[in-house]
Amino acid sequence: MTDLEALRSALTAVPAGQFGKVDVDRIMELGARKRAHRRMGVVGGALTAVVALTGTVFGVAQLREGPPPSLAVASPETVSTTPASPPGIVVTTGASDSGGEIVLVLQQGTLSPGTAYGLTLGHRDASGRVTEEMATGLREASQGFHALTAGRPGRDLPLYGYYAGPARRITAQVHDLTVTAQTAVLPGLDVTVFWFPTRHTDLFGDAPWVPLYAYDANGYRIGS
Amino acid sequence: MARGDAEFVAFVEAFSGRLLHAAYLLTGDRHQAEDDVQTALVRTYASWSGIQRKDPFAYTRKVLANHVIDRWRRPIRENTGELPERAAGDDFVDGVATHEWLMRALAGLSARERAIVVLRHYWDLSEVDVAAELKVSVGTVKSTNSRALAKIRVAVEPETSTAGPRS
Repeated sequence: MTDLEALRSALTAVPAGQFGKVDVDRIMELGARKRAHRRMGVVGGALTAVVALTGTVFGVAQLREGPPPSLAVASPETVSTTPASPPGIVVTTGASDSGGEIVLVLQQGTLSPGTAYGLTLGHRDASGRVTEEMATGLREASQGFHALTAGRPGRDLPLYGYYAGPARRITAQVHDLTVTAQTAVLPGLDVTVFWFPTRHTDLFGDAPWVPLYAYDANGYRIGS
Repeated sequence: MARGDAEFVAFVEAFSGRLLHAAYLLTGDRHQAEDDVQTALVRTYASWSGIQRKDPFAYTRKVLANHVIDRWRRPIRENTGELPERAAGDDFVDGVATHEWLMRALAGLSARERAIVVLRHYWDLSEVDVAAELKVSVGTVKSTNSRALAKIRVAVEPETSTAGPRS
């Protein structure tokens, strides 16, 4: 047995390593927004299928008048199916549904003026074959968020995309909660594929807008 | 910067270290701890005008603990199993071993048990204060604390099991 004082000593011992710096400016920005929402009684719409090139994903309520030119809506219809696995880097998400294991496939190509990547959501069956289902098309790989896509309501992943640049952690601000994405840093590429797990589907579904943030290995915010 | 904002910045600078430490004890995950502290501080700032003259640290601590409990309440977490007895002679001399033992021990607790251990023994709150912060009865705090300490094999002397904050 351990005595209580020893437990208290262990609890108060400073853990090794440093925590990331608290971003007080961001906290105040979000806190002010939360305060304003309280005052205004804002009710958000549901988030369904949205793609944005900025670090903020807006809900369907904001898109009913039609998406702006910089936005592209991923088709909920099946884009294509292939008998063989599509070319690209297959990222295992750890999520699965009746269609099998949900995977993301990063394809590399070129767009003027340079490298571009496309992201495809698909399923991998028991034989290991990957079937493409939703493709974003190539997006220019300038530093920042790209190919942000909300999965089909009630299926797939609530939100996924990739970040071009040295991101090691991606978070989303959903209402007043900060949610951390699961990530895969692709070797040899300055790209981090990320996705939010299916357990957050309801949370994202209620959000009128979802700002995203990228942090580097040292915990500094490098993109939003 | 408005005066209230300057005071909030000073508050964050003064207390974020302790909040991060506590959040890490509550979650066992450094990144999650950072996220949870940010969430708690956002709520604190949103209510700053109403609490800055009271006890903003207590308010933030309460938000943080309840936020962690609420988040962990949704998924069903399986008990990680019986915690092995610490080796005889392992008297917390080795900081790394101690830390590993502590985090494994806390991981074996439910969110509420973990929060009560942290509030009671890291922040030194009395059982009455813990009950108020978590909105449970004092009896629940006592029984949960005893159960948690038993799980992590911490011996409790009779006089300390109901004691208030240490001076």
